Amino acid sequence: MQHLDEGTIHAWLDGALPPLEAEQVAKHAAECSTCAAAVADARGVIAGSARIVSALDDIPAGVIPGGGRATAPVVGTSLWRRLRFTPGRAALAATILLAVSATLTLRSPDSSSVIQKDKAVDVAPSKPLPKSTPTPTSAPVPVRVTLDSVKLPGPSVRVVNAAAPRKLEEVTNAPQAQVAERGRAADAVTPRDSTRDLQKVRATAQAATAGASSVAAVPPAVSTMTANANAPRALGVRDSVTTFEGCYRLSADSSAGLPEMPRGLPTRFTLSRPSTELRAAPQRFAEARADSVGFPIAWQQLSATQANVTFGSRSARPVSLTLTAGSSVGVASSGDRTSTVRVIRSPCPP
Amino acid sequence: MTDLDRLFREYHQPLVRYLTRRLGDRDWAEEVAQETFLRAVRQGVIVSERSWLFAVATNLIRDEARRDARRRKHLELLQQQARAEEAVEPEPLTIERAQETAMARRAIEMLTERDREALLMKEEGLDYNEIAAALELSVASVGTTLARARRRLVEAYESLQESAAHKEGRGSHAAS
Repeated sequence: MQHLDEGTIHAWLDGALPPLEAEQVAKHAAECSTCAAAVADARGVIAGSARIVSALDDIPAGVIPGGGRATAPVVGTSLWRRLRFTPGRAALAATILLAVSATLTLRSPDSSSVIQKDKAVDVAPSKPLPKSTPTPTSAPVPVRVTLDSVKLPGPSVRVVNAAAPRKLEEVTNAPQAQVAERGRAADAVTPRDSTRDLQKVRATAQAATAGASSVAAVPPAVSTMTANANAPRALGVRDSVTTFEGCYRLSADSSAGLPEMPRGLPTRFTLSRPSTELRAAPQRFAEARADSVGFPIAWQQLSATQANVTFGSRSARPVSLTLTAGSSVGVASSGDRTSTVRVIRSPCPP
Repeated sequence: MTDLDRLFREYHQPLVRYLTRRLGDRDWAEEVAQETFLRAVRQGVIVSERSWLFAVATNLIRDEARRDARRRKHLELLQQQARAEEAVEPEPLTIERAQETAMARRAIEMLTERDREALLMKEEGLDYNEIAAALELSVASVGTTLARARRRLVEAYESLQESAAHKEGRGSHAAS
């Protein structure tokens, strides 16, 4: 038998040879020292290449905004993660939910009635409210919505062009005002006939009720900020809502002639999604950490493309930092002073 | 359970991982995977599901790569910018890992398209018949393709490591 060629050795090691041929190869490798060395070498190459390929799973974060976590593992991602649920999306869904509720309220022929507290309301757009259903007049009455009955176009639902997979139109690539407008017309919209999309919609709507309270309650330091709905979308980000969760590093914006960082800002900080516990605390929107003690921070997603982070300080005024999708420059403001700072999204430490 | 449910449960995870490794962009990978599953639904009966899905996904990213070269170039620039910024304030462990990933990506990009795809499919557990079907190769040539791909990948990676070490050595020499 001739010496084994490299392809045959790899096929043998991969278990891809028929039994008879595999037996012959094994026998030859046992007898021929040259081929035995080639087999050992091939084993090393296979192991080495596998290790290199697995290194590809760590995707370093680019600049703001990353579409997800810096090193998001593919394995074991939860449904929530797969749906890329973010507080911003929750806010959008909440907006739509409220808009639909308002529409149904205004469309009701009997506007003098008042909905009973804690009465579950089916807001399915295709199912008009019965005439006898009482509706609120002017005062905002707490309403509990049965989520399973909600049929809404979810904020993350995409329309896919079969011929050009990368040219995806995003249903919600619009300012929140337009989304709200769409929400008002939601009774004309029917959900797509897809199990996953339906799950997405339901999941997002469920999340909205949880996230709505935290999104609506804005701390004083943040409430003055104005969302820029027309901010440019970041290249490479196809989500309608940018995910700002992640780790960041700040440095002086030397290109703008600012040799030093604005006072009151840490050199690095982390933003993560709102947690159940924090939701109960009105002044904190999310778990957020900075590198130094003395930087209590809170953050909120202002719009699809902007987030605001407020850094507290014992000795000075709070500093507000606005992050914009697609920009590596953040705007820091404290009192009437405004300056820019370089913002880099960096991989989170393990 | 519908066909889409079953296909999704069975193949979504490996397909997205394959695409993420191939593209270096998780979001993009998920979009391509989504499109692949939609096409599978439209296709109806599929004989060899795994090789069909991987073949369609591979073709989608090939087409897209041609159309979208400019965007990728820009992304690379942004990533380089981010890496340069990181170098100002080093974080040893994180940077080391990021460099390893970047080097792995550069090494895999140095392979030919066919070698790269065969290797990534093999790493996702596709057998020789499935790889052959997905890439329109003969089964007999898959072993050779994989052997070449693996060896070139390892060599490319080692070469990148050496040049990085060389650069570091030169840098520290210049600094002293």
